[in-house]
Order: sequence, then structure tokens, then C-alpha cells
Amino acid sequence: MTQLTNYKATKIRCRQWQDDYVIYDQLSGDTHVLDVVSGELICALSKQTMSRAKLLALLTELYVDVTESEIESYLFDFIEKFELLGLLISE
Amino acid sequence: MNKQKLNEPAAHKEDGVEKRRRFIKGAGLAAPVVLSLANRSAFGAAKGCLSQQVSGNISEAGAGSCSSGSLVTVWNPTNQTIGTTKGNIALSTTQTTTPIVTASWTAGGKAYVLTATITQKGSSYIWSGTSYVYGILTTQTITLSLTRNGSSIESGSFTFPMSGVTTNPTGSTLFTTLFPSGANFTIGTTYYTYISNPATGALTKALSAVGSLSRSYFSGGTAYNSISAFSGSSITTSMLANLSVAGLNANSVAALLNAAYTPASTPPYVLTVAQVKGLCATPPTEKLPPNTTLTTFLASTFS
Amino acid sequence: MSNLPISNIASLSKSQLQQAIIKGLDFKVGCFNVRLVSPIVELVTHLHHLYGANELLAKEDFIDFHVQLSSPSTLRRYFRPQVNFFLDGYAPFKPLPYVQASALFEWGLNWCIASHANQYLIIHAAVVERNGQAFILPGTPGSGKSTLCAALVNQGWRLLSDEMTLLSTHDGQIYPVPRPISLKNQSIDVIKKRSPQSVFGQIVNDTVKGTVGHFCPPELSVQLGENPVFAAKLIFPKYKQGAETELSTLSKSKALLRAAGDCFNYNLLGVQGFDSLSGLVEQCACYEFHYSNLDEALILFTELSHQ
Repeated sequence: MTQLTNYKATKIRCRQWQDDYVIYDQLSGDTHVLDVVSGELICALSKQTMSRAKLLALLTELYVDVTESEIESYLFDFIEKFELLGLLISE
Repeated sequence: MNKQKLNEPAAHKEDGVEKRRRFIKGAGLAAPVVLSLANRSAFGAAKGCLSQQVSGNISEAGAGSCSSGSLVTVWNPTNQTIGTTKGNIALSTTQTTTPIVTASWTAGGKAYVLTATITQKGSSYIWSGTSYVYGILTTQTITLSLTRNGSSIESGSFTFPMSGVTTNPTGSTLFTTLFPSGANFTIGTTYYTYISNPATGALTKALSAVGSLSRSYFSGGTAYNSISAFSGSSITTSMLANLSVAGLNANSVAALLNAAYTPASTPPYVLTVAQVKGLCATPPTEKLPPNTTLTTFLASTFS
Repeated sequence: MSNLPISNIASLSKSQLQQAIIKGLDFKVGCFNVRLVSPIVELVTHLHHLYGANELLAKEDFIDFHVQLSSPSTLRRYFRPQVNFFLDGYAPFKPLPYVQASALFEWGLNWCIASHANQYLIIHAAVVERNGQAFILPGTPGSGKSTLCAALVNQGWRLLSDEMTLLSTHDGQIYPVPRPISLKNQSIDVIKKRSPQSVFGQIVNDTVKGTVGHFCPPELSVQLGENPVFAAKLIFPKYKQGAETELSTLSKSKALLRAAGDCFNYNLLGVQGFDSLSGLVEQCACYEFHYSNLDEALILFTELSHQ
């Protein structure tokens, strides 16, 4: 059976005002303002570990009229960016 | 006030059924956008540097800006070049010539005498901009002569063994320490291996031996516990060299040296000497930022 | 407010004040208690002019900052004389020229608060109040916040602070520290021209900020120095010559990020700082404000205070 990668956020504090997301990284002390979709994803990940498939499903739910490849591309960028920022870890 | 619940995505009701919001993609699914405010060294920024912005104090070098300090490895004695800007100003130099030490043996019915004359120079160095003694630099050069039945057969500079002496021998142990059995050395251009049992042949000519004509080492230095607010008895120079043994002390000393070293041409270090001492005091008289240790915090002020 | 007679610095004659400062003068500065010890005569004049409304403390009151200003005991006492600032016997700065003693007192007290009052999230911002609404004006030097602050105060707005907004991490209110407003260079002339009755302290030249003068806060602002208030507006001003007066809405997230960058101790407070600042932007309307015409700016602010 293939080992699936799961993702979860590191220790963060989320605040949201309508489409505005701000998160505080409690490990580094950095503060980030996020676009609404990244914000939804990372805040969801701060509450539970999610597999790649689940993240794709969440993105599909969030967006209307997008293709599968656009979703995949966004998720790829999201994971890369947020792992680099130290906000996301895979296990 | 319309307070959003923490960590909950916005939801709305449609036809009595709660649905997640959905976003129109626009001209394509945009890449993640992040604007960041990086954490900065809170301690120094709240005091040393920002105080200059708030106070407009013109007498602080680089008013309104501070710099991070040098890493422990930069201050480490093994990385120091004498006379460079990061310390090592010679205070005084002394020179002594150690009395002759000899080894003698008989082989093949002949009497051999190996004589070593050791010239030792000591220079005391301080970390520039401070009163802290970096250490005494001892440099030894040795000249050797070898006689057989009283007649000179070899003389010249002694070349230290490559497989070196790592301790700092003095006095009567000097010779036996310099010439352990099996040590290779040269006299002039002739290579020798010294055998500890002279009866079977004290010297044999070796194929090769390399080394340096002098050796030098640092010792001493300001004792850690002589700097108020620091504890422990390790000497400053040796402490910086033993990073894995004294990680905390190495960072503390490096922070102290960064704070004390303030040339006019660069912005000052984020902490002052008093602040470093306050952080390192037992109990501390300066408050650390939350969620960090002294070692980690001090390391974050170096780059 | 208490009906008991309260002594303030103005109730002392200049010679009484001088004697008191030599031994140690205890007085309130907003929510802080300060003791000043100094033999420097110019400081007596400075306090007499600019701190008259500040309440004197009883001897048994707890002191937050023990401050001392004095000349060095070395040759620099006489030759190109200098003045030192001490807090609890420790000098955080190198000395300044003696003639800048009053400026050093003000800057030193700023440093005391910015470095120690970590029960507050401290924003580098002016804060004024009208109709029960505090308006916070963050800005780095050159943004025009001090000139705007001084002009608003001259129009009757309450001064809470011209330099440091103290946001309580406990109750989310802004706590005042009303002190002389520091103005620089042309701003001094602008305010003097608009309000000729304004009381200024000594004008000090050749500081790192140029020419600096301190303008006396209104007596009522000082008397209300222990009355906190909730913030209602977070406005980032930017003065630019010739600019149109323009107020534009700023998203709360971006306002938070900018305000965090303007804080003295956001990093020090960690997640508590983030939570406090989040609470602040939650309750405030957030704007960017560009202006060059001070009259138009004042009209707009008055309108905002009614919203």
C-alpha cells in the first residue's frame, strides 16, 4: 500500500475578518497576512491533519468553475510556500 | 461588534442549509499570497536601537540602527588572526630563553648528546575595545645540536613534529614531551626519528618529517567569573573554543564581546554590555523575551 | 474626579521646585509615577513651563521610574559640558551636550516607558480623543503625526500621547501618558503660527532630529491622565507636500501588520501582543490618510469623530 502524505499546520494563531486572514506563528513570532483561500486552508490545517486528497477536496469546495489542474497547481504552490515559511509540516 | 469566531471559516445560510462560501476564480486560480512581518530581535529593538529613534541620541554610533553581532565561531581563538579588527591587540611582549635541556646516550661505544635551546616569547593580547584579556600567545622556537663524543655532527633549527604536542609543557618535562618515542624531527635538513631506548640506537634517520619552525599557542585570558554577573571559572578563550561543552557560556561571551566591540564605522550591536550582563546574571536583572532561552535568544542576535 | 485639593507642579514657586528637584521631585505622568533628581537649572524651567498641571505625589507613593539627570564628574562638567540620563542609576545612553538637557529628559522618559511598560502593547503612535473615541495615529518620523496631533489638540481634542499609544493587554483600553508634544523644525513654526497662545519650552538646535521644541499639553488632558478610553479609529497618516486630502479604508489584516511593525514591544509580548493588536483592529475602523492641508485634515477628523 502506498504511504500517503498528511499535512498539518505548526503552532499558529488565526484571526479572520471576512476575507482577511492574519496568522501568528507562535514558534517564530512572525505575522502573516494571507489571501482568503490560503487562510482557509491553513486555518483548517491548524485544527486537524489533512491528507492531500482532503486538501484537494476542500479547495474544490472553495472555488467555483475551476479545473482539476488549476486546483492541483494551487495546492502545489500552497504546500511549497507554506512549508518554506515553516507553517506547514508533512508527515 | 461583528466578531468572527477564531479559526472558523466564514459560513452562510442558503435556503436554510448552511453552506461554505465559494469563491469566483476570476481570471484563474491565483497563487497563494502572503505578506509577512518577520520577528525581529525584540530585545535589542526595544532598547538599544529603538531608544535611539525615540531619543534622537546623537552620541550613539549609527543612531537609529543596530547591527547583529558576530557568531561565536568568529570570536573563537582558533579563527582569530592576530592584529585583525576583531580583537587581539598586543599589550606587551616578553621574551625568555629557557635553559638548555639535553638528552644523552651511548651507542656503538660513542657518546651522543642532543641539546635543545628553547626561546620562548609571550605576548599578551586583549579583545579590542574591551579590557578583557584574550590570552597570552606563547611562541617557541628551538635550536638543536647533536654531538658525538663531544664533536658536533648536526646543528640547526628544530622542526616540530607534525604529530604534535598538544599540551603546553614546561621545565623538566619539556624535553621528554617534545621528544616522545617515535617522534620525527629535523636538525637542519636531516630527518631523525627519536627512539626512547638509546642503548639500541637513539636516532635513526627517517625518510621524512615535516613540521613548523616554531609553534604558538594561547593560554590564559580573562577568567569568566571575573566579569561581574557571569559565573563559573572557565577562562574566556578556552570557553569559546569548547563550543559543545559550554554552549551557554560561549554565546554569553560572544554577546559580551559583540557589545563591547563598537567601532565608529558600524552600527552598534543590539545589546549593550550592561544588558548582556543583566541577562547572564544569576538571578537575571534583565528580562528575556517570552518563549525562548538565553542561549537561543543570544544566538539569534548573531549573524 | 476627586474633590480633594490636589497639588500640582504649578503650585510650587520656581525656587521651591528647584529645591524639590535637587532632592527628588515625585510627580504623575499619566499612569506612571516619576521621581526626578537633578541639579540642572534648565530642567526646573522646563518642568515649570510644561508640567505645571502634573500632580505631585505623596511621599509613600510607589515610583515607577527613578530618573536622574546630571553632569559627569569629569572634565566634561566644564569643558564642552555634557548631561547624562540615568534610570535607577543606570545610564542607557551616552551623554548629550548640556544644552540639550530638557530634550534628553523627554527622550529618556520615552525610553523608560517604551522599554519597561510591557503591561501595554506600545505602538509608536500619537493618540487623541474626542466624543469618547480614541484616534490612533501611527507613524514613523516624518509621517506628520506629531504636527497633526498638535493641531488637533489645539482644536480641543484630548491628548493621550504624541509618541506612544499604550494599549492595555488586560482590558484593551488606551491608557494616557499626556506629555509635552515634541515638534521638529518647520512644524514648530506651523503650530506657533496657528496657535500663537501655545506654550513652548526651550527650542533646542542641532539634535539628530534637527531643531526640536516641546509644546505644553492642555491642562485638561493632563488632569484626565488616569482616564483610559477605547480606540475607535486607527489612521495611518502620511504628510506629503501638495497631496490631496484623502482617506481610504485599510483592511484590518493590513492595518494589523502595519501597526505591528510600528510597535516597540510587539515581538517581546509574543502571542499576547498579537491578540491585543487583533482586538484593537477588530474594534477600530482602519484607514490610510494622505494630506498636505492641515485645515482640511482637521475638518475631516472632526467629521470622523461623529461617526
